[in-house]
Order: sequence, then C-alpha cells, then structure tokens
Amino acid sequence: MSPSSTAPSRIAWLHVIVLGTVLMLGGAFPGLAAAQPRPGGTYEVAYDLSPFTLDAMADTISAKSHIVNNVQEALFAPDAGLVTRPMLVDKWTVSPDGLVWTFSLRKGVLFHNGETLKADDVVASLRRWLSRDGTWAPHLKSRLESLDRVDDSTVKMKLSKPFGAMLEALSMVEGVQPVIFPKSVLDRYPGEKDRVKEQDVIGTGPYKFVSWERDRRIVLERFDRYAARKEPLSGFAGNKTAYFDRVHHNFVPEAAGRVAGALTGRYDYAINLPLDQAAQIKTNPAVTVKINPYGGRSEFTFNSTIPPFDKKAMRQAVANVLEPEEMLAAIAPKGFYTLNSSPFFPNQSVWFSKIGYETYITRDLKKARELITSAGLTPPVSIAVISIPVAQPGGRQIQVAVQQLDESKLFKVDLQIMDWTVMVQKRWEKKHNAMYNAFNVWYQNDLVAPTWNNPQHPASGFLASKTRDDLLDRRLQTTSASDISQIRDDFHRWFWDEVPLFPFGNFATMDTVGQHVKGSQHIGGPIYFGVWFDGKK
Amino acid sequence: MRTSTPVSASATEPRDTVASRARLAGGRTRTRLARLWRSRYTIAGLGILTALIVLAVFADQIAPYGPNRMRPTERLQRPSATHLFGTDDLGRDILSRTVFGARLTLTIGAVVVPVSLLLGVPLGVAAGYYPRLDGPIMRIVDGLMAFPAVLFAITLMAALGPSVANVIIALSLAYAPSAARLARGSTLAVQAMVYVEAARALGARDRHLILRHVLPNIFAPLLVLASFTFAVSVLTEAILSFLGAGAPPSVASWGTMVAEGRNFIEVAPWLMFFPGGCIAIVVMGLNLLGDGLRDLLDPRLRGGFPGSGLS
Amino acid sequence: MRSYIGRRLASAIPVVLVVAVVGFVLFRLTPGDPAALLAGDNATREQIERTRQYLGLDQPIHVQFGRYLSRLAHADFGQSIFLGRPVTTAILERLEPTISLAIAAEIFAIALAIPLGLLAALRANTWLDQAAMALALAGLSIPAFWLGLLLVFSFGVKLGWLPVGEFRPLRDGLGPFVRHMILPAISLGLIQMALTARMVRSSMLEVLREDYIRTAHAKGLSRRTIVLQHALRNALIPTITVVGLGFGALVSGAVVVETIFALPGLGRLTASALLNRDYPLIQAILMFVAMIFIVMNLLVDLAYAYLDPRLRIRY
Repeated sequence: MSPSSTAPSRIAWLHVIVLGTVLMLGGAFPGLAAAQPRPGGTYEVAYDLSPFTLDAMADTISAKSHIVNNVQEALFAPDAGLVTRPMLVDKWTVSPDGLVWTFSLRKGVLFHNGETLKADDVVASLRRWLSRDGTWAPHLKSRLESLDRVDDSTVKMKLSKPFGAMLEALSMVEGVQPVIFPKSVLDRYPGEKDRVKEQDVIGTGPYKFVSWERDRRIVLERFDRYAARKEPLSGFAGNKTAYFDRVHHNFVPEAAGRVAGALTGRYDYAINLPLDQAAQIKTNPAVTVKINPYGGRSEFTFNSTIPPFDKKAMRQAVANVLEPEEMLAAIAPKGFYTLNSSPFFPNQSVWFSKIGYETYITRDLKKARELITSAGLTPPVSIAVISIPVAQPGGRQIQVAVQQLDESKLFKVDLQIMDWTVMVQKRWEKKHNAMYNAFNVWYQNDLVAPTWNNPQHPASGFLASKTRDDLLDRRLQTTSASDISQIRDDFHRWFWDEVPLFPFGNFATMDTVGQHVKGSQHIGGPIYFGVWFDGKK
Repeated sequence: MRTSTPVSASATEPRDTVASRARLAGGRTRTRLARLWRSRYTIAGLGILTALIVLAVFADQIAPYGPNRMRPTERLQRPSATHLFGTDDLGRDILSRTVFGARLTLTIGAVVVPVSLLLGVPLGVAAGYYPRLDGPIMRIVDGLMAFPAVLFAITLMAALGPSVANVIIALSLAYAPSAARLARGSTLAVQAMVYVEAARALGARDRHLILRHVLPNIFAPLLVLASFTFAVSVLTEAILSFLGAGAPPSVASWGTMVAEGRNFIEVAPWLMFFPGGCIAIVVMGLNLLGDGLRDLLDPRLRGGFPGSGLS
Repeated sequence: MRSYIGRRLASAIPVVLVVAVVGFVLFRLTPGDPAALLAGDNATREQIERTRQYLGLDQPIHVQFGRYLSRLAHADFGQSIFLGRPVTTAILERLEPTISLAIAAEIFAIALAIPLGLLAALRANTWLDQAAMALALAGLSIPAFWLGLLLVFSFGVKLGWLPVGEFRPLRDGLGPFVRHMILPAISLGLIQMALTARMVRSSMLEVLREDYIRTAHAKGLSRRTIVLQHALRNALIPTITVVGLGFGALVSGAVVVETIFALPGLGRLTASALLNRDYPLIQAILMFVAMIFIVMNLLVDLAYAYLDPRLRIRY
C-alpha cells in the first residue's frame, strides 16, 4: 500500500466524521434552540364563555378570572402544586401572637400605566376587595383592626384574632380576587356598586388589556416593562415573563367550533374540548392533547333546613344508595374521571384525605333502609331535586343519581329542571331537598374559602354545625402544618358523618395546543405567560 | 254533504271557466282514477299517522327497554344487536326512546289541534258573522299572527317553564289565529250566499244559521287545517325541545334527542339521526294527509293556504 | 297612498308599545334571577344583593316601570344586563349575520322554487311533477335543525369541504362569505323553498287555465313567451304573499340555524337573552321584531298592490 493511496481515504474518513458530527449537532441545535423561550407571535386562543365584566372584584365568574390572572397580580399566588408563593410581596413577617402582619412590597414593579407599585395602591385595593363581600371578606373583616401603609413599600395589618389563612386569602385566583390596582384608578370608582371599566383594568401583570370586542374576542398585549420574579415559573407563581406579542382570546362557545379550529390550526390553544373526542383528536399530529385530570368536581347537595334531609340519618341513607362511578361515567369516558370521596382534589396535598372513602364507595341498600326507618320515615321517601338542563354535564349526572335513588325503591324523586337563572334564585328559597353543584380546585384553595363550607350558602346545604364552625375557627387561628393536618382529618371525619353533600368525584378537562406551542400549563384556566412558539410557526 | 258553493279561503278566487267545466263534465272516469292514484299519497300519510298512533299507544310493549333506563357504562355504543339504534351518552337505548318519543308527539298533536280549533273557530265565526266584532277580533288575530309561532312559543316557555302542559298551551295559542282566520273567511263566504239571506229574511235565528249552514261548510277546510296544524305543531315542539324550551328531559322527545345528539355528532352520529328522521317522516306523512284531504274535499283549495300563516 | 302608509305605520306604534309593556311585565313576574346569574354561582347572598342594586332590580316594580318609560321617552332602550352595553348596540351588531342569513336563504329558496314549481306545472301530472313535488314535500317536512346537523355532519365533519361555526361578513370577500353561508342558507331556506315551489306550481296551473292564455296561444305566441312573459308574472303575485309571510318562518328558523352553525346573529341573541332573563334586551328585541313584522306586512301589501293593478283602488 503506497502512502498516497491511504492518505486520501483517511482524510475522507475525517471529512465524513466531521461532517457527520456537524450535521448531528446542526440537527440538535434547533432542538436546543426550541427549549429556549423566544418572544414573538400572536397566540390565537379558543375560549368558551364570555365574562360579564373584567372587574376582578365584581363577581365570581371564572371567565373573568381567566383574563384577570394574565393581566393583574395579587400579593401572593399559588404555584402548580397549589402552594402559596409571594408575588408582589418581597418579604412578610407575622408577629408571634399572629396579630400583626407586615408586608414588604417588591421594588420597581410597574403598572401598565407607568406608575410604580406603592403601599397606597395595596391598601386601596385590599380595602375595596374587603368591601365586595367575597368568601373571605366576612372572616377577615371580623378580625381586621387596621390596614395601613407604613411607608411607600410596606403595608401593615393589625388583627384582633389570628388569621391562619391569610396567604390563601390574599392569593385567590378565582372568585372575588384581591388583585392590586393603582390607587389612581380606584379613586375613579369610589361607589360600592361601581364596576371598573375594561380600559381601566390596569395591573402589574405580564400582559396588558387592549380591547374587548363583545362576543368576539379580548385582545391582550405583552407588557414589556413587566417586573418578573426570578424563581422558575410554576402555576401562577415565579417568573411569569410573557413571550407572545399579542394574545387573541377568542370566544367560541360551541365545542365543535373549538375542536374544528384547533385541528385546522386556526387556534393555537383550544380550551375545554369534549372528552368523548379525545381518542380522535389524539391521532391528529397537528395538535398536542393536554389533560388536567382534576378539572372539576360535581356533587349532590342537600338542603338541611327542611325534612327529610334535616336529619343526618337521611343524608347518610342517600350516601349508602348513591354509586359514584356511574355518575362520573355519565359525563366522561373511562380514564377521564377519578373516584374521590374528599371534597378536596387529590392534588390539594394540604387538604386532601381519604377518610370516608369506604362510605363513599359502598352501596348498601339494607343499611340505607335501616337509616331511613331510624329517622322515623317509611320508604319510599318523596324528595324534590332541582337541577340545570340535561344538555349540560351536571344535568346528566343528576339524572343518573335520580335513577339510582328511584331504582333503590327507597326514594321517590321529583326532578325539576330549570335554567341556571331560575336555579340560582330557587336554591335560596330553601324549598328543594337536593340540588346539583360543581366546583374547580382554585375556588376552594382552603378549608374556609369554599361556599360549601359557608352555612349561609346553598352550596353547603345550609347545614349549621357547631363542630364545623369550631373546625373553621381552629383553622383560622393557626398556621402550623401539624395543626392543619389534624384539622383536615377531623374535618373529613365530620364530613362523612354529617354528609352535607355527596361528592360524585373528579372529572378531567381536556385542552389542545398546536404542536409549535411550548411551555403551556394546563391546571385549569388559560395561562398565557411562560408560553412561546418554538420558531417553526 | 258537499255543496257546490265555494267555501275556499284562498287568496285567489277560483274561476268558473270553460276549461274547468269541460274537465268536470267530460272525463269523469279519468277524474275518479286520477283521484284514486293521487290518493295513494293520502293513504301513505294515513298509514304513517296510524303507525304513530300504534307506536304511541303500545310503546311499553314495542320498546325493548324503558326510555329513561340509564347505564352510563354502556354509553355511546354503535347500533348493535342489543341496541338496534345504539345508545346515547347516558347509556339509554335510542330505539326505546324513539318509540316513546312517538307518545309525546302524538299527545302534542292530538291536544293542540282540537284546542287551537276550539279557541280559534268561535272567534273566527263571530268575527265573520257580526261585523262589529270583526274589526277588533281580527286586529288581535292579525297581531298574534304577525308573530312567528316559534318565537311566540319560546317567549311563553321561557316565562312559564318547561313542561308538556306549557308546550301545549303555547302551541295552541300560537295556532289558534290560523283557525280563526279560516273560520272567518268561510263564514263570510257562507254569509254571502243567497239562501242564507233568504233564510234570514224569513226570520231564522243566528244560532240556527251558524249551526246549520256555517259550520257544516267550514268543516272540510278545517279538517285540512287540522292536518297541517298537527304537522306544524310536531315540528315546532321539536324546535322548542331542541332549543331547550320544550318538554322536560324526563319525557322522551325527538327534539330533545336531536339536541342531545348534537354534542356527539362526531363520535356518535346515530344519536341525532334516528329521532330527526322520525320527525321528518311524521311531518311528511301529515302533510301528505293534509294535501290528500284537501284534494279530496275540494280541489279548488289546491292554491294553498297563504292566508293561514302556517309558518 | 302616502296617507295609507302613514296610517299603517301610525297604528303600529300602539302595538309596539303593548309588546314592550307585555314583555316588561311578563318576565319580571316569572321566576329567574339575572342578578344571581350575573354575580356567579359561587357568590354570597350579599354579593348577589349588591349586584341586584347595581342592576336597579331591587326597586319595586312600578318604580322600575316608571324609569323604563321615562328612558323610553328619550329613546334610551337601556343597557343589556349581560352584555354590558346599550341594547341598541347589541342588536345592531347582531343584525348583519341574521339579515345576511335570511337573504341568502330567501335567494336560495326562490332560485330553486321558481324553476321547480314552473317545471312541475308545465309537466303537470307527469313523473317530473311527482318528483318535484315529492322534493318539495320532503323539504317541507325535514326540520331545519336536523337538516342543519346533517349538513354539518356530512359536509363539515366527514368531508371537511365547508367550514362550520363562523360567520364571515360580505366585506371580507364574496368567496369566504358564500362558503360560510351555504350550509346555513340551505338549512334555513329549504322549507321556504318547498312552500314557494308548491305555491308557484298551483298558481301557475290556475293561470294556465285562464282564457287570456288561450288567447295568447291562439295569437301564435311561442310557448316560451307565454309562460315567461304572461303566465309567470301573474302566477308570482300570490307567491309574493308566501314569500312575505314566510319571512316570519325565516326569522324564527334563524334562531335554530344560528345556534347550530354558531352564527353571532339576532336569533341566538334572542335565545340567550330569554334564557338569561336579560330583561332590557328581551324587551328591546320583542319591540324590534314586532316592528319588523308590521313593516314586512305593509311591504307585502304594497307589493301586491303594485303588481296587481286591480288592487290599487283600495289604497
């Protein structure tokens, strides 16, 4: 072998190796590049229901919160694990007796109108929030002695009794929200009934409000001077930098329209698609299916003010008749629901418990009959159940529940179907015996918050119970984790003894995003920050 | 007994032309045969109505399952041996629900038709007979007719709430004006006849005239109207149920079934296919019946009922 | 003539007012609480009360009525509860899709009905006639919502030819407008087509029996001239009535078709206003619809008079 014949082949191999490596790395680089968020693009969203107002403190409609959470911020925010993290607050301290809370605000945080966040803004916003009668308001107001600015970046709250749920209350991402407005804006809405107009929905959030074309869409724009936190993004906490130039939050109330738009690429993000089409949609390469296993919970709520469900034994009897899996199967295919006896969601690590699961899952007609007779009644017992129209998932679950009750021969059910607008009125009249209700996880971020623990509200069945009141009081007095676990267990024992309502379990919700969308979170409600296009769009 | 005097309420006045007289006088056999041939559609319509009645009356025997038997674990199954029309998303057998839906359809039609006639005919006859009542009555009637029946029914149902009784009330009120209009037109026509004038001159009382002359003459067009009213009330009830403003969900209604099926059109098209088809068949049958009756009873009515406002 | 029109329109005003009052009273006295719906289903009692005050619904009914009348006198029809804007704006915004749909449906109906009815009449009692009338009968019997769903299923879902669930206004281009409008127009127009076809056929048959047609024949005019220039014109007169009255069916059918095809029109607005108890919107829509119908009836009468000189004497 002469040297001249081997040298070219070695060089050739070198060329091949180098070329191959370059090609491989070149192929890898775009992949690497995609892992880095890049700004740009307009995010087309298909959302279902229109809000009625964008004033965060005016109502409890989810559609409003879903916009507010992208545009405005509160002192604290929940992360993806439902743990409360600081947002606009830098540090906070609580006095040893739990009566004085001092919040230090972050510096250099800007509002969309250019103003800098100051303590005056926080005080004005929190005062307004408290005056709007949300679920936390009565508990905090009854304890609040003063709420004042100490200096431009410090706010102090003095309480008469400890308030263990302070962080949970100040981090609500649903319901009447304690988001921070500029004081200059709130000064223009001094009246108790005033609603902030959409152009004045000014916040510190990563997007700012641009326009609302009724029934068509809401347009948001990136706020370039957003003061992002340094911690990694998780849920509504951490680094919420916005990458899209604009977001078009389109209203597409028909599920079929959202599905069609998602599959044709008209929408980058389609929310709340019918679970029955999951199998078909999954096969489509244009979209990625994102499932939130704990999208919602529905339940059968009693009215404990009138017979027969004023008696605990009767409520327990129903618990022994109802078979929850059928109820869940009525609205979701297998794999899209979770049997869960707790009114809390499985991902609510602080409050979730399996105490009572046996009662929940067991169907014991003999025991039910005994309970009914022990209450002094003879089966079949006549009851009136109010529900929303059957076309909606909750209506279907109630139909199955009613069938179970009728087929057991222990109850005779008069099912009254009515529109929402009639139902929300009738349930206050306390003439029904049971009704349908539903919740999502953000609304019940703590034991004290949910309306199903408020004995003045139909969602609780109006059940008055000293045990529960004591539990809520205990909870409000403490911030210790071990106390809270104890309260949690006690609560669940009470819950499955008194049975104020029968939870059917959890069902999933399904969204899709286009294949070029990265970083999206699907924990309930659209999140537009921390999401970007991977460059191929 | 058919008189040879015109009793039509159509907008175009029939003309007694040479051509039509020749047709009547000449080929009587051909006319009879033609009538029989044309009446095959009427017979078909009658057959469909009979089938509806049989399904409704014997639903319990015919349907394999109860209409509200829910088995959510068997939801959205394709048509198969155990479920000939498949199951819906609550696992209810669609064939059974379709059969029971016939019951609601028949009930609606069977009650709305006589009630709307009972409401409308006396008003119409009064308006036709007493000129002083004509103005005010017809103004109200025209006002009611100006409003499309569906919108009127939706408004009423939104106010009254969902129940079969309310649907019947809403539809009867919606279709009474047509009956009134028809009755009035016929009454006016009869009134104009010479023998009626003569009878009156002889001192016959109003009630006698109405009972013996007016009513028998409007019977035929009212029968035709009844058939069309049945058809359109089936359609309207379906629309109301589809929009959620009709029968409550515990009652199997074809319209509700189509509405429910709408949400599953991609995964389970059979949900809406069968009940919708039934609506179409029944309405078609009733229209055929109405056409046939009209042809049979008075061919000159073939011009349609533009004044009846059955829309 | 002018005074006739003036009188007709003037007599319309009390009707519209009666409709407004009835609409006002009817809904406020029936169950349904828009305040509770507006506040959200997790709202506390205090929140709902606050919302009720915001809407002015906490006042006694005669106070509310008084306020309503005084605003009406200033041509202020009020604010929609759920849309948060003046009802007039809400209605005007929704007008375009509904009118586009109605006109498209009517064009479809007439374009198909006249040839169909004509053909059936000219070939009366042949198989062509039977087929055409069978088609018309089918069109009459198929419920619009079912047809709409079938069309959505076959053309929209299975074949994917036509888009579903959006409205493209005409100013966005004729192509997209037609593509988005075709299925809804067919769903809505089919019944109208059937009625009109039958009407055309029967009135053509009537007209063809007339003496003057035989005269025209005798004069040696071609069949085509007779049919198109003489017979059709006269046959169309009663057809106008059907078309005009059918407009009512179109508007009520629009509610259903708009729901199925997700068109943001007046029909859907009406359905949701009724469902939500959006009182100001309901009242305004009822008045608006009543007005439209009165105008429609007037136009039909006038068209009739214009086309048939014998009727002009009445006016």
